Amino acid sequence: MMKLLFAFLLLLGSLNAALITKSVVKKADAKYGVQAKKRFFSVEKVLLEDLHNVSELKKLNVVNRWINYIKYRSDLKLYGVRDYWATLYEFLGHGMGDCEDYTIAKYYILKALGVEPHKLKFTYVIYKNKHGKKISHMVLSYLKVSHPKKRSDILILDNNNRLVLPASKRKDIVKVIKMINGDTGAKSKKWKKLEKNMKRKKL
Amino acid sequence: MTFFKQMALAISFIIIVMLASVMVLNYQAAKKDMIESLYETTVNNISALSSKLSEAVDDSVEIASIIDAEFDSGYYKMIVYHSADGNSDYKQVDNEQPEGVPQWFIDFTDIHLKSVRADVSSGWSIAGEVEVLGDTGVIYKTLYKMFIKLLYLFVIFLIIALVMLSVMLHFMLKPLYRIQKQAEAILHNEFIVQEKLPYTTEFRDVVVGMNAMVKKVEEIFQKGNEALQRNKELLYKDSVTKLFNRRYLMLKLKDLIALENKTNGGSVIFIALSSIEALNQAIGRQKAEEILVELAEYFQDITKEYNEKVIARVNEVEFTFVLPDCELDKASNLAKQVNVFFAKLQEKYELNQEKIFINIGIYRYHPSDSMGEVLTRADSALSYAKAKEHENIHCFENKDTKIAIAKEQWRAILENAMEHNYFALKFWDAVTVPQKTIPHKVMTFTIDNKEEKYFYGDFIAPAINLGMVSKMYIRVLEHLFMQEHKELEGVSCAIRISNEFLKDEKGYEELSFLFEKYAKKLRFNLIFEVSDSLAIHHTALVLHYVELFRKYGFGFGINSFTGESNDFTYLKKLNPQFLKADSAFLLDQSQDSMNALQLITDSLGIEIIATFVKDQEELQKIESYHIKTLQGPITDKLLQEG
Repeated sequence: MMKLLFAFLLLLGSLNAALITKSVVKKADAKYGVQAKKRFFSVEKVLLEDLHNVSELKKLNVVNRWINYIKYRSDLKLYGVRDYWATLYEFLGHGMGDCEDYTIAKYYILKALGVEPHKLKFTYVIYKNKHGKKISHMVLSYLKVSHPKKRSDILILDNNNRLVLPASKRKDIVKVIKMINGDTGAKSKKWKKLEKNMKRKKL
Repeated sequence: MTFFKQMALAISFIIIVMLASVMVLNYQAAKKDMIESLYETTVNNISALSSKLSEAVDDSVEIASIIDAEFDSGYYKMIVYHSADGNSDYKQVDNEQPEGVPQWFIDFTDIHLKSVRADVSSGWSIAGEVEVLGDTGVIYKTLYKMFIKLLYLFVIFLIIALVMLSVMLHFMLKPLYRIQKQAEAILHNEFIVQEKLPYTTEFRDVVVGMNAMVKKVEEIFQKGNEALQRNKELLYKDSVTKLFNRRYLMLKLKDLIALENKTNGGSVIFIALSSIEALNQAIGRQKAEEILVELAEYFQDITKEYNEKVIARVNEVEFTFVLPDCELDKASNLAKQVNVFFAKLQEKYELNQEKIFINIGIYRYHPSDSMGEVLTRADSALSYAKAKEHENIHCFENKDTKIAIAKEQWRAILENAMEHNYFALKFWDAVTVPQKTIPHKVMTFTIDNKEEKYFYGDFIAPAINLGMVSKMYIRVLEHLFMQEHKELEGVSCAIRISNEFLKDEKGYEELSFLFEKYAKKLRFNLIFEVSDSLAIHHTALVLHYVELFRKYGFGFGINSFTGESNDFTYLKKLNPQFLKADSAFLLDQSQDSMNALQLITDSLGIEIIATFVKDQEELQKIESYHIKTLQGPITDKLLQEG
């Protein structure tokens, strides 16, 4: 009897721990409409289910490409503030976000697909666009080795590029300001808030 | 407010102040430490940040990116970069309220953290200044959590402290509680001596003092009791037979004739010995006295069933029994038993039956008879007995015309009166002199059905006989409680309760029910009076009623006091407000007797009230006994005089 109860509680916990749940899809449908619902289904089907048994590199590529389909919109326009870290759910719900929101979405999906979070770094960079203008930017870096010595050991998942390229081939990233861990490192105020919002599946 | 409550409040207040002070001090210290700590951390961080910015002073995008990265990875409220030329100023601010902290707490805490500034240099020149303000949200959150925890601790500690305090105070103040009970008992003229002395010195001294005081009052009471008994013995007892004397008989006779009972009256038996001289000559004075003592003991023995009676030796050869509620046949039987007993004595002492014999005259009286009538008729019966040749007993009964009303007729009259409330209440003043105030009014009632009027004395015997007394009293009391009586404004109402009512078991229950229903609504106070003889012979029963009266805040008094008892401790048990005694009884007392009685009543806080005070002469004598309250015909005159 006790074993059964324990198994039931475990199942209940795992259901809630899943990245995309039926309840969140239902709420997204109610709040953002059917397109949002489709995005949630796609993430669940195309990314979380289909990519489960593929190589990490494929996971990186597909996730990067899929997420990059979502439109770019600044925080000021979308949320009315200068800087806001949206949850995966808000990002999918709105169907738009800024560079940090892409990074966060990719991070959580890859983590759900079994990619070691230590390999994923939130990276503050200076990006030079095709007009030569420097922009303060954030990308998700994937470390192929734990202590990379060469730039080619780091793959960049960037919303400005649908390809996942090694840092050595990303001449448009002119400077790396800082690399920080995701939810595995020391948690800053912003991370704590994001983690809390993710836990309660804020839409 | 009780001492316990005051102590509990004072100590609770001290505990609350202490705990609150600790809480405030703790909170303030924590707040100060946290602000200082945050400031120091900010100082540390700004050093690293300004170094990084120094490397990017020429690139505003890089500056923004460095600030963003720093801001996102730490705990900051604000980071501002002011460039010297004003071209690459950048600012990151977090204006969000700290989550989980209520606004009132933020307003209350009101943290002012100073921002930290540092120059950003580029080589030898100052390219700008960076200003950093640490995140006070962390302090608010931490302080709020701490405040909640402290509050819980405060409440838990306060509850524990109050429980412990209550237990401690209860234990420490137990002796004080006993002292309070003793003091209350003294106020109610009850004398309790505390055997167990408290441990606390001050309390022990108080208890010792109170015990001594109680013992002294008790001694005063005992002295009074003994003196009264001694005086009574001298004044009202026959020295040979220890029976009452003529003086006492004359005092009591009026009350006994008027006594309410089932048989509407009683019997008076006169027993006359032929000659005391002949008896003395025949067997000598000593033996003659032995015969008289044996006779007296026999008289007491055969009349045991009559609680309210008087057996007196009225002169050397005559004895009188006054037996209320004793019918003629019973009295006749008693006379026959006396005859038989005397015959045995004649035989025992070999007396000459021709010379030494007894005659017995019996008169069956009714409450309407006067004292004179009763004595004359009993005497006449005795004369008849003496005149008879073959018999020495003569019975005489005077038929009362009013009693001629048949039992069933009385039932109808009483039922009718109860159903239609034909009871007319009348209030007689008790007056206190010399102020001429009215401390209470005494209620009596009649049946007045417009066609005929019956006085209390007329219907009480049939009511007792028919078992309707309780019902009748309840109905009258209901009438008293329910209707407004202007006569009772500002005064108490004394009600004399019939002995028969009190003896009826149902009476108690019905009275309790009546009190429960009306007691709170009454606009005047009630005092219930019971007769002295009932209080003496049925002390436990009366005490039961007294407790009921006191439960509802009603007073209690004793009337028809004649000092009948040999021991006045029943007064101590019942603790009446007053003793009402006939002025004739009071005036008959010697100064010593009155002093003894007053010693008793003063020690118990009982007031003596004189009843049936007829004129100014009696009033003056009564006043000389320090009796202040009166009833009787004189009261109307006194009140008229104003």
